[in-house]
Amino acid sequence: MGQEPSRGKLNKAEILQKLTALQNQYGFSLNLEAKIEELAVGHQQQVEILKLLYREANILILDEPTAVLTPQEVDTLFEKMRALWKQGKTIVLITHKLREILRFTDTVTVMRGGRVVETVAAKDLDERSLAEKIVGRKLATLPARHSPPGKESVLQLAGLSVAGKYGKPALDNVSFEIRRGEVVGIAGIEGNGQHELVEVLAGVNRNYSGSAKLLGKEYSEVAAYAAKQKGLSVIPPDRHREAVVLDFSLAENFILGHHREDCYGKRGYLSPKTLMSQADGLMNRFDVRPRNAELPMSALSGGNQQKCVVARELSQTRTDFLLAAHPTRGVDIGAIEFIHQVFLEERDKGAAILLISSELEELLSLSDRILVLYEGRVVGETTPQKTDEAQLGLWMTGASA
Amino acid sequence: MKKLWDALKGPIAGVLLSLAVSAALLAFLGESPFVLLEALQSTLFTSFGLGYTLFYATPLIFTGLAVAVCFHCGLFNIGAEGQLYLGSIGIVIIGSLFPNLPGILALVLGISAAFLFGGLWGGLAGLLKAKRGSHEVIVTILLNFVGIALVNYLILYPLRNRTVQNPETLEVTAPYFLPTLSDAFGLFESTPVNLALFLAVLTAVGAFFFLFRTAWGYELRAVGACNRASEFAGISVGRNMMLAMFLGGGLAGMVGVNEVMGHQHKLVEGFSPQYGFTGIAVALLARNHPIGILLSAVLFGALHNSAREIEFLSDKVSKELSLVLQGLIIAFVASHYLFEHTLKRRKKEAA
Repeated sequence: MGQEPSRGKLNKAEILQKLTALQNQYGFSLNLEAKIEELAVGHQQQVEILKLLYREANILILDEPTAVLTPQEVDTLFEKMRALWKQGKTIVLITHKLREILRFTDTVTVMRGGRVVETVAAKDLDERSLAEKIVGRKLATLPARHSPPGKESVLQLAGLSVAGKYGKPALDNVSFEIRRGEVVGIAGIEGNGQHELVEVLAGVNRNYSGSAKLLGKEYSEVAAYAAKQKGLSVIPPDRHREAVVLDFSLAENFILGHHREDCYGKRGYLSPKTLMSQADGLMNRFDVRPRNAELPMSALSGGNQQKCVVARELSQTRTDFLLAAHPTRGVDIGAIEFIHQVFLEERDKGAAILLISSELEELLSLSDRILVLYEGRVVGETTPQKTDEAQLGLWMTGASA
Repeated sequence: MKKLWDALKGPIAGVLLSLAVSAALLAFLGESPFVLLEALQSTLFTSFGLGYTLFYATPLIFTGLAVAVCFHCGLFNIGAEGQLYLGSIGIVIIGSLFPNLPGILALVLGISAAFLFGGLWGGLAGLLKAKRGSHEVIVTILLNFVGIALVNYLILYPLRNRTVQNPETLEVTAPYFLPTLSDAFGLFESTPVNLALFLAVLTAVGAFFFLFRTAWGYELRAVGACNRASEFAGISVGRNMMLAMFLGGGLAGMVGVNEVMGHQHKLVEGFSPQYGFTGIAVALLARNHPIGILLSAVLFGALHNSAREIEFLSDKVSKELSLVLQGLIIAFVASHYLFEHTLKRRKKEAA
């Protein structure tokens, strides 16, 4: 695209020939006749790179190339990049995944607040020292668990199924439970039923079969609004569309979902004063910047927006069940660390937490148990002690457990 | 203060620019451009002219609010014209059913009837939108035709005053009369501006309070700004859309209070010079802010009034000039918003 070889008429044969030569040279094996939408994301990513090679680029700049890939696809991608590197190409990799940087790069440049902080050789770094350079201070270690999870079951799913778009069920007979003070992680490539699971557990979709109970009450029998007041906290996956109202002020966003509670004014009256003072309190506690509750939500950075969401969801009277879907997506390291700590505090206070994430590292470091979703079914259950990223990656692509 | 100026400078610039262009247009047509100023002067700064201006502004406040409240819920209400006819006939129907009520009760009942009849007509569009996903723009446009035809039928047959030639209803009884400001306070000479003006101002303040200071208004605006996030917050999108259309229809229906209870005391076929559609412009100029609507309704009332004035003053231009003026104002103001928007985006991109 943008580099068609002929004037007027497209010379398809010539393009194909050139691409095939490139494929051979760099060890790609893509089906050149396939439509993009038919390809797996990992292959789509390779098409992007092939496109750059076709344009005879010598410097490749890759911005978060692995965000949607499985660990196996990541490995393949970096193998290809290594081949390019050997043939003399320069690669600039922009990523927030520390492991990728340490494994695949020679030189690391750390940026913070729009400025270059430091440039170092990758071999002189480990994950911790790199992370500390990025946030600019010492990182706290995640607190170890003080006590084992409680006995009381908070969330119970039994045979939960949701119909999908093309006749295939989107969620197929999912059963598990979460107890007080327990963190259950859901691993899986996006689009394998996470979305539908979130919709049921957030109370947005009541059109399911099987049973989903929160504190013994069936979801379909409780209004979503009532569920929120009874100890349900939700961090939705799509921050801009589902978690906040971008045009509303921060103060207004802090009460979303709790706007009918009496503490904001009597009988439906919303007192601006109360809203502002609550917002100021939350912004101080959760370190939201800039500290101006009158700003619209759209004026904040992703990390600060997410802090607002977390602040809103976890500052209410009490949280029995926290549903956190991709809580640290697009969020800077400092905020990630903060959010993780808040989660573990909630866990220790007795909240049951369901963590859905595409960051395996996050799942492994926070969860007590990990379930793997594939095509709407739970295909594997394990604990962080018994598994690693490679194992999870295999399950996520459908290899049987 | 700076905030207020920021909000007002766009519309003011738009109005001044469009006046300048209209003056040029008048000169081109061989008329003195000062005719326009003369007309505006007499409609805004004489007590007789201002009386008529405020009389025309009253229904525009209601229809402007009718559009704005729906807009805050993400809905475009083009049905105010039909809704205002339904509200007006509502007063006549209730008035003929209960002619002998004590004064204050009749007034309350009449106003409620206007609100309810208009509200149900608007709510119908909301119901279709929420339950069947029918687009509210199409539905409200079409319901205009149905609503006006229905009201015309009621005027011409069951409720007709058969003692006069003109197609109009029987008069409502005296308890339903709202006094004019000249009768009540000796203001604005013999113009028909009446207590409905105060009702309109109170309604605008009430609409502001409802939208920005209550949990219900909060829900309605949340649905308008982002209905997916509202769902996650446990807010019912469908219910709020129905509520918004009901309120919008009700506000438009209140035009009947000015027309029937305050002015003619009966409903005349085709009485509205398209108050419902002008309401869209009123709301747009005010950026859907209820208090801003008070100002922009007065402006549009003045334009409507001065167009009639110009017809007296000049034999070269007709009162359709006011439509040209309204069009220009909207074009200038809208382009100002567009300009602001692009400027902001540019800044953001640069950052």
